[in-house]
Amino acid sequence: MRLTRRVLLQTTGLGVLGTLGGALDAQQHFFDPEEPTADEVIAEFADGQVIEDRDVTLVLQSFVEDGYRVPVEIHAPGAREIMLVAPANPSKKVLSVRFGRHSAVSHVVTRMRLAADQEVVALARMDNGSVVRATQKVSVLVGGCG
Amino acid sequence: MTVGPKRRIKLPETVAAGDVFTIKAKITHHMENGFRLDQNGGRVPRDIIHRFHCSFEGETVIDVALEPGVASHPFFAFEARVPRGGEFTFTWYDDDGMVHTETRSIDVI
Repeated sequence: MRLTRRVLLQTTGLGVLGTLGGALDAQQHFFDPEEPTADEVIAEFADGQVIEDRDVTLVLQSFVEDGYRVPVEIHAPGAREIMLVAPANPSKKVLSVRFGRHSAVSHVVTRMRLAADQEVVALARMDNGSVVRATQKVSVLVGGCG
Repeated sequence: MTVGPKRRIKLPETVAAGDVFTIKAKITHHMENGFRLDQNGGRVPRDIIHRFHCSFEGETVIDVALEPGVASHPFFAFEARVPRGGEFTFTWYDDDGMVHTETRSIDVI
């Protein structure tokens, strides 16, 4: 076979694709089997209490383009402590907040990372010790690992 | 002169007694989550701000435990109510051992 431009392009084209595949592999994230599951994280926070769906509001867009920077707001009047869980992130627990006596309303606004489509969970421990929950389903276009 | 990463804090200079007001605090930090791999397949070590604490005259307003799921340049907005004038202290704890502190005074009229 003569080495024509066409043959050359076909063969090197395959080579380039192969290299790209390798590069994509290298982008993979580290998976830690020691990392607790979302259920474990939630159970630890609940500490044996029955979790009820009330009294806490989770404000989060249902469709997110950029998973690296997602505005999130948790409003839990009367909560002593709250926790935010992202079950499809490599690290399930995103943050936990303890409110002190000078915190007027148990309300916090921040920005989180979302790795993939998932149902984000906000948990709150109220003054009387009960544990409540709010959830929000989110679609993520470009995942930001966290 | 600020040493270390840039911190920005926003809160009113004066409030009326009993008023609830918003405090916003942000620090510049890359929040390297520890799950990424470098070009050689090695793990990029985790380096995040793992705790943010805001207190008023030594008593906690808000105490946040941050995990890698918090976006880079962590930002928080929250509400406070204070009984008298005094000083707020904002502290960020970095994985590398650094502790960054800012203070802001408020008057109650």
